[in-house]
Amino acid sequence: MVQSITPENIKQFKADFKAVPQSNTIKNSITNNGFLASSQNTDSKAAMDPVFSIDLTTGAVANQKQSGRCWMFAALNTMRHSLQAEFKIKDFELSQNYTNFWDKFEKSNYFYENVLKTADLPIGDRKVDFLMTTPQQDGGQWDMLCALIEKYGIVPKSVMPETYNSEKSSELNSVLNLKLRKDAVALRQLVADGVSATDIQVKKDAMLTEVYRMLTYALGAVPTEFDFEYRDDDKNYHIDRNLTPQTFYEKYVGWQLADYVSIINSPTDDKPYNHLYTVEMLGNVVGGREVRHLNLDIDTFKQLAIKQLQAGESVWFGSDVGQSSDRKLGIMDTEIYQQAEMLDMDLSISKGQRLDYGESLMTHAMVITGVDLVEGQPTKWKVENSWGDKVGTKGYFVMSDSWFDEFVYQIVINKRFLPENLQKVETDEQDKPTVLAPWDPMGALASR
Amino acid sequence: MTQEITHQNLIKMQADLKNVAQSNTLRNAVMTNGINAVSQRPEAAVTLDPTYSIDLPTGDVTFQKKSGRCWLFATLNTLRHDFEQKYNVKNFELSQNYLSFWDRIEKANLFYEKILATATKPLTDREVAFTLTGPDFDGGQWDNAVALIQKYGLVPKTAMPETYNSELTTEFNSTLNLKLRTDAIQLRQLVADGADAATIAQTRTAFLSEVYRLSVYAFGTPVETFDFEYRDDDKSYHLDQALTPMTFYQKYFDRNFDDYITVVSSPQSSKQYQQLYSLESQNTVVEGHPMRLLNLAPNRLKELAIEALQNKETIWFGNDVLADLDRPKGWLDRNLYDYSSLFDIDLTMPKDQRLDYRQGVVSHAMTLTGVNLVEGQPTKWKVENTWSDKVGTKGYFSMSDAWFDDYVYEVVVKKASLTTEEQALLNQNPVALAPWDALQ
Repeated sequence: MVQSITPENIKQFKADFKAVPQSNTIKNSITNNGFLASSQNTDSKAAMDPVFSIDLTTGAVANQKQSGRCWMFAALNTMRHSLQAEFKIKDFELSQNYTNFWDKFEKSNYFYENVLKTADLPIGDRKVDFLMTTPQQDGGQWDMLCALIEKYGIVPKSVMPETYNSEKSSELNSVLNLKLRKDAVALRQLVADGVSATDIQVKKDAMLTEVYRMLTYALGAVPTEFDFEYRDDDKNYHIDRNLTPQTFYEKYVGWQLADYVSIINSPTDDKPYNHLYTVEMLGNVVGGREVRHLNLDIDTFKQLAIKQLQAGESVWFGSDVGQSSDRKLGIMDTEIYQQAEMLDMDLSISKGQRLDYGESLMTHAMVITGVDLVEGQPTKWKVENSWGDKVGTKGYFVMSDSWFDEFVYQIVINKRFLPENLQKVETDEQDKPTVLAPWDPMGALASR
Repeated sequence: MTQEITHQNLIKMQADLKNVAQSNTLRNAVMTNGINAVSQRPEAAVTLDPTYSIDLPTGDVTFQKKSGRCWLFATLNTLRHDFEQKYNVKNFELSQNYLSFWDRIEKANLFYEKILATATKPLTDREVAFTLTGPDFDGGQWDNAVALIQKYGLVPKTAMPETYNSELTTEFNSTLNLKLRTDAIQLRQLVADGADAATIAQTRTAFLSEVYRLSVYAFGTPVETFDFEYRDDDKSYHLDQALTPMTFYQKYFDRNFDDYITVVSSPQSSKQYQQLYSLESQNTVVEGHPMRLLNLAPNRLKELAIEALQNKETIWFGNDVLADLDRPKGWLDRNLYDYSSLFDIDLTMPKDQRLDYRQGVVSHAMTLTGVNLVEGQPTKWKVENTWSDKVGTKGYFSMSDAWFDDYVYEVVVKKASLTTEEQALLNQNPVALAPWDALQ
């Protein structure tokens, strides 16, 4: 039943337009100023005043620059907070470039393995296309950073600082993806030719050696042993010699990473609450920690975040930052743009529908460092971003509680805050999570 | 039998790296300056010197700003060059915003069409998910521009100039796509509830009326009648009154769009040369001029382009501009960045593999306005871009002939310039390509 647009339709559309009150005034405003500036609600700024009843002590914000390493910055931020407090080193940073190096290296191996796993599927198959569209990129998940730390440890930023390519990742990504696609052609051919698994692995090792070289050129040589020097907030000098990334991690961070679990809120039919999920073809370290998400209803989800903040620990979280937010002001609030009212259109859509219809997905990870509880109820949240100190309030953002409900999808919580029944689910389903498709919106943070 | 990276692997890789000549020097250079700055071949400056044996007279370049309307700008560029010549008016521009306006409404209608056609499939179905990923968007092809012009005509830029939203499309795109997705929920629900065809059609028309309102808000009211005033290059004043977009188009332009065809060259094993293809999912004007792609051998693409330039016609062409590009300098050259030598890894990839493995995409459309023929062979091409006059040579780019081989995927030429045998192929039933085909 094909329906084209006819001249009669257009006549009707014109008449409809005229019948809308103030449509001409609205047209003038929007054609000159755009949809956002025309509908910006100034009351939102007042409501989002950055004062919080619980406000953890944190230092200067970090800057991921032109890269997609938010997840890494956010995770390292949660760790540096405890380090800063314990060792009295304000504004201390952990090396994001060190974990970035190993992430890209492990992702390359992970890609090769996925290519081999799907080698019998034809070109044009949805999974193969998905793999080839983005062999690797900057994004990732909490569990993926844990996998890297568990294998490679961590170093202070001073030991492996940023480079041109870590701060602006586009050139490295395009060359590395070209190499990975070219290697995919070769690996698929080897499988098609019936080459033995052992011989294929030898080829793969040679490919990885080349990836290692590319990454060393772009990001630098990874340190294996180093001295850690710093001056603390009381001006005392410290030097700790002959550390390795592993001993540094144990001595200065020392978290039991196994205690931290990823909790999601995805109110969609395909993901019943109180169960554990994973996403196919999403990960980095082959043989290392895998992605696991425990899906909970929004009330339980939110209470966990509050509990952890009350205990003085910041919260890594994943959200869709581009929605209803003003980057410059550093405000995320569902009321900041009143577009439906301006346009006189019903634009309401539920959180689950947004996910099902591709309207929203996880795009960014940050850290919650405070919450404003008024009569026990949260009204707004304090967020440490990684976009430098030129945005928001010295780099910190304010998130309204309604925005939390609609656009926060994931938090990382220490297991000890989980009720017993949920701890049990987390343990029992660890080896048999429900597997989500590679393109599931809960995997988006790490695949786009 | 997955294989993890072991400590032994790492020790060996570190040792291998030490054995690569000058690896430390290269590491220093790349860490500080980036991969592109270190690997760019300066010889390109010589190869790409902007002198061409055939160099058609064209004026100042245009500027698509922060929008994805390259295809529309490139189409209108070919038309304005006709006009500039015929009426002796340098630097004349047609309104890109006027066609954008109708484009977005027509695309919304196509989106509704697709949602209804797939309403019984689950949301996770590849086709449904693909449709929902980008309900409405800036991009397009030559045939889409043709369909719009044939249905809505043309107006001079002065009659409907750019707006905030035509020059920066992100805000409009996200608002429109939110609306279209909420409409999709309702349309799928109507189908699930067994609503009759008339109710569905009525709902859809009501939705379109709202899209019309949104588009007026974004781009302004589409002009219906106007007076066309201009001063030509001899300073003579002209006034033509009470034109409509259709009479303006018919009066001032004599291109018959039905005489043109998009010729592609894809060596993928899934496609065949001498075959006509369609891309139903991109017939953005429902029941309008459809998209057709004729796949020919690579040498034909080039021969046809040269012939058109020799006949003084500028040519719309689709390409992957992001490959081997220096944007400020306006250079397009194969291996402009010698990555293979820098990393001592063979990083060349043939065209068929590039398309199959999603390395190559048709990311941009521009206009060919010249070619350098040396002893009958092309060495470089002159390209009119739409990224303002601040890049390249006053906005014009220089493209090596090797870059044409690798990264030019489509050229639009006159059907009459095809051989008789090729012309006969146009009467074939086209083979339908998937919505996510590499040539989309």
